[in-house]
Amino acid sequence: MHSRTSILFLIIGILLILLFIADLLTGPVSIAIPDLVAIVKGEMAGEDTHAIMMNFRLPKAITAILAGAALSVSGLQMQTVFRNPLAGPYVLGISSGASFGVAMLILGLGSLFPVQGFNNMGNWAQVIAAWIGSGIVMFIILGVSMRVRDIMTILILGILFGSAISAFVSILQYFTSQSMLKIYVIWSLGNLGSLTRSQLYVLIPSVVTGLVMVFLSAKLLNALLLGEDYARSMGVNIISSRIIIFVSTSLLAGSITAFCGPIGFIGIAVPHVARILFRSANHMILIPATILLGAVLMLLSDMITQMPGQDSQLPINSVTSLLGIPIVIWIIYKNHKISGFA
Amino acid sequence: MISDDIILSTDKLAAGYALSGGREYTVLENISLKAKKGELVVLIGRNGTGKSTLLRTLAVLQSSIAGNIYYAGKESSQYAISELARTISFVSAGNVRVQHLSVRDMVALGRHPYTNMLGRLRLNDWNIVDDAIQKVQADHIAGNDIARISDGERQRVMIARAIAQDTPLILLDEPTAFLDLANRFEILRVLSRLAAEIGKAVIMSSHDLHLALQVADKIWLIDEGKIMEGAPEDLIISGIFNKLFRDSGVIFDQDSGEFRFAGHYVKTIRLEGDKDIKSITEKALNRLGFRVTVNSEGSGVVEVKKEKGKPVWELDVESGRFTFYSIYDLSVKLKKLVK
Repeated sequence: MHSRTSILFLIIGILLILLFIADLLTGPVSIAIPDLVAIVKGEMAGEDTHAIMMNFRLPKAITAILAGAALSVSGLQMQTVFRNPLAGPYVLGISSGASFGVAMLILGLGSLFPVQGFNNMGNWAQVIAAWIGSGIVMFIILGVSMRVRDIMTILILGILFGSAISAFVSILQYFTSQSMLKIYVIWSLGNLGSLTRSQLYVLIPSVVTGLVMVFLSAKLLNALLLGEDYARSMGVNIISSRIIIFVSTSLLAGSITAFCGPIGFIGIAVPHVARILFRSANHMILIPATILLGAVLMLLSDMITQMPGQDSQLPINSVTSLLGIPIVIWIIYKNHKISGFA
Repeated sequence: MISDDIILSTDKLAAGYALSGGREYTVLENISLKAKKGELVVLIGRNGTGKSTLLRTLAVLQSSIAGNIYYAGKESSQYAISELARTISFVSAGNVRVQHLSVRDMVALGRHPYTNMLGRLRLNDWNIVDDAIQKVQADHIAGNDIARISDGERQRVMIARAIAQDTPLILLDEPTAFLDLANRFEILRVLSRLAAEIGKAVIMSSHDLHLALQVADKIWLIDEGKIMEGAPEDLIISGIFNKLFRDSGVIFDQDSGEFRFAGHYVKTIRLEGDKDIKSITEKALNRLGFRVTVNSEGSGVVEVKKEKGKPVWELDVESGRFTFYSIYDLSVKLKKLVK
């Protein structure tokens, strides 16, 4: 490995650790470094401080790392498979599928029950509905991809499918009560901090499984850089590679969306940042680079949501969009001559 | 029956593509062809005759409709995908554009069928990669970004990638389609050396007949759903080329092995003089619609001379005698005469 690559990995790794600590210290209640040290040592740093750290800050920071890594790396996969620089984790319609599940739950089923009773269910119901929604979309896309030869057809179908679902969700919103609508809108703004520890125990293995699958598909992704014809001629089984790549993307993006709501633009922007910084197209380098950079950017976004000196938080989806869109614009502008992909 | 030299053979193969509803559209059928070790085969045919369909079928990028394909005597369905990748390599016409990928790393992708699950290349693999780069004479750009080299260089690199894949058979779908003449010659030179010196069977499709006739060991010519097979000269003798371009205003000249526009001659003219420049002047006269004769005067006489080592054309016609110092000036005058 080039020494430049090693140094970059080292720098980004250190940055990740620093931002993780900084994120733990950021929030409406001020926690200082000595408090953190005390908690790590197992000493009591004051009951409230300890509870805030263990029940809120730590799960949220871990979620941020998981979300950043998962969304970014699935964006990388989609950009390579579809050979399109604007592809992201949601091109397969996963986000729309999750929205559909949540919308059906909150706006459809929810209107049959009183608001109070619904709130008592906790957000497990939302999570499961989102998971089912994105899972159904994944199976439809997989079914199509086993029959359709042309990968671009799948891209277009995924986008159209997402649009159709969004239209359907809009209709549901129109016919629903205000209080239910509010719950749905809040979900759609995204939230890293709503996870309980037991939910984290579900999210962590899901994301880790997805990431392992991504690492195993690195060689396939390298071959797919040249398009499916070349990949096939080099011995890549196109159908089984589509399955492993689509399943891992759905698992990663679907789980994050289920637990945190839709989070936009990180998945499109981060792979480009990784390519530019590491000057490589090799997925053995790009995959770990994208994972680390995604985690860094998501921790940064999370810190921005907690505006200093204010109790209220900005919605994470808006922050990532406002951070990610300028990066994407810059990339498009910079690459208008060599349009990176065929 | 099948000798060891035969790398590819087809038996009553039908090629085409699947339509919606499980129906199939057959483009070519009853194809029985052979390609041997060390041969450069050029598949030619007019647009839409099924060149690409056949080539992609032979490369197992699409499935055949009927019949069999044998690679080194073994039927194609007997091969595992990974085994096929060590038997056939493929180069497409399309321009592969990937950013941040060096020439060397691109060629290294050719080692895909030989690397472990993580795709890590060993020293031996890198030696094969560097050797392949050398064979297409791309050493000087080995470290360059694939997005920042010329189209001709990139196509040579794609051929190096196929060489690195180390297969007895290389199939190329119109590899020269988007290249200028110099680059087309360069690519064909590389390919014919691959066949002659390394002993690979190289099969490429092309619509560039002129070039194909000069380098191919064998030509597969598609016309009206049939394929003719033979050395370029065999096909010339058979007179197939004139048939191929019927209704297109192109005539194949058997003697020169070249194509020219089938412009009909309006007038005749006599041509005399310096031997070197005479033949090129004749081409110009033909282009302008004059049939060149040696005896009858027709519309007049063109005499080619040399003055102080430079060519001069003298035109003797009804309206007088004119001297020109370039063929262009001569042609301007002659055009007026044709009117």
